[in-house]
Amino acid sequence: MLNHIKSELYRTVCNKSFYLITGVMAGLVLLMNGILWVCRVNFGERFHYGTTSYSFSILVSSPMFYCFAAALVAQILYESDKRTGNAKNAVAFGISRTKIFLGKCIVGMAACLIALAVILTVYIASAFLLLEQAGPVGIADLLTEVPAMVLSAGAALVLMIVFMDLFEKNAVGFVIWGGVFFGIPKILFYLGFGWEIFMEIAMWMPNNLFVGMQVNTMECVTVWNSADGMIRCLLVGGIWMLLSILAGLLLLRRKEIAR
Amino acid sequence: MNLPVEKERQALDRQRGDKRMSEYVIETRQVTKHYGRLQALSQVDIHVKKGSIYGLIGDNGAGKSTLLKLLAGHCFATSGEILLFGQSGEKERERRRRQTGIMIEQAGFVPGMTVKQMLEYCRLQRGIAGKKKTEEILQLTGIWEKRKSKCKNLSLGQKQRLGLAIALIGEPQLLILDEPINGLDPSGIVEMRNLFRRLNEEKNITILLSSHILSELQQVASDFGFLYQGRMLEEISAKKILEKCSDSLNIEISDPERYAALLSSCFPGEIFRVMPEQAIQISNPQREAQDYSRLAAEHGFLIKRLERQHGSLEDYYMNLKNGGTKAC
Repeated sequence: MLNHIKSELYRTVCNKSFYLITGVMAGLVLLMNGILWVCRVNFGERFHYGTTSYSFSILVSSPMFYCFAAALVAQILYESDKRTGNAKNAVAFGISRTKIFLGKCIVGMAACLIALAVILTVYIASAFLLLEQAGPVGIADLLTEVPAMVLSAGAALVLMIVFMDLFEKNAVGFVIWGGVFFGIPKILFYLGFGWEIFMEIAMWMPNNLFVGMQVNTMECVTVWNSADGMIRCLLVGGIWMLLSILAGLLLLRRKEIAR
Repeated sequence: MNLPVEKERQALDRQRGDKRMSEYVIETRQVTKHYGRLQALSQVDIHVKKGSIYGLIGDNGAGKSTLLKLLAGHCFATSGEILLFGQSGEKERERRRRQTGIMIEQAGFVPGMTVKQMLEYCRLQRGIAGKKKTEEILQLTGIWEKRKSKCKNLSLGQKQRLGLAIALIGEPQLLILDEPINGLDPSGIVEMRNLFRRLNEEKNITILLSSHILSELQQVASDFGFLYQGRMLEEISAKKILEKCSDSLNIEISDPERYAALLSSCFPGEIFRVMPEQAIQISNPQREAQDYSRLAAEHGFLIKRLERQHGSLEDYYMNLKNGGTKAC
């Protein structure tokens, strides 16, 4: 398994698309902060959004973005496997499907964390350099968001890998992933307005966990602000991560390779 | 019953069984594969001897690729047993695949990687030490000049060479190749043929390959298996096919029995038989046709027809497929 992980790390290092997407994302956050700075310089006091608080609130108020980004990383790293027949090489080499799956998950997580480190560094540095340090949303809110979301994002990555391997077309896998990660939780949430049991189940899903948050120019109340909230985030993420891995191990164990 | 003696006897039986089994690098026993309602393979038995080059022959859709995919682990048999190096369990077969180089249909690759990077990736995946291995194999398979090209930009023939290079990483004891010369130019085909021979003779690598180009298979393979509509029609050695499908000279003559006696005395060593239709068939004739007609003319025989026939693997296969006698 170690050999397989080494080879997947090598493959990630050789993957120009990964560098491109990381660069683009870092460039976008730099551009965003740049635009806020330009507006602040041009409009002065009239422009209330030229602050680190507003900049950070964009990400702090959208924690599910981490899940979406993790799924995107999985697509970038592994979308070509079926199309070009690379998947069959590992199996032909005598590596079990379980090890292939776990190797992808481990390397995918590592790639996500590296990309996150780069993008966050650019994000925070550019915000501090260009914008006024004011407002309710601070760097601590942004930085504590990372451990709160890391397991949920990991679950999103693993589930995307599972669906990409399970379905012939990656687009189908993506849609199913969206349905499982966003659609089903929302349906259960709305059903919960009528039946309490659905609401209880819905609140154990990442997408519904952050429903009550208040992140704006006046206040910053996140789920992970409190110890209980952080524990809940980790628990929800951990459960989903475990379920995703189990799903992968069960569904992919005897998946036939078509091409 | 004396338990220690009984245990010893069982161990000895297992050893003998293992020894018999280890004669075959690949063996399948009544392997069947269904894809939904479609029966791709039906009770197929295949035996690939250690150190041989085994040619798997069959029409499109006969089940060749399916059989090779089962051996590669890409899919699972509906029923039956598959043994690799004598091992039948799934985990054991997985272990044994590490000694196997496999290329099924087209080579699998990561599109954004260069050829050299792709081989390096495979080398790491297999845990093979030494970066030089990658360079050696690139040169052996004739794609060294393309080492910096992206895999997605290779021609079909170059992709085949890449696939072979990937299969050869790790110095396998067994090669399983599906249509390896597909897309290669004529000189590439010759190169590949010579490479297979070299690998087999110098490194004692067993090779199982499938191809539509029977004339090519005939030049390299030592054994053949004929698949038709998912069934194994026959397994036969190249030597036996040669005996059955040799070149022959058919002579329709006035007195075949007397001519046969004349042949025995004047041309000893010739293999012939008297046919029912007033004819003699000489297998693998050692002389020119005019020598036989001159002999007949000098001794007053009248030749009605003289015809040379060339036996081929193709004729053998077509005959077999059509349910004919197992001869050309």
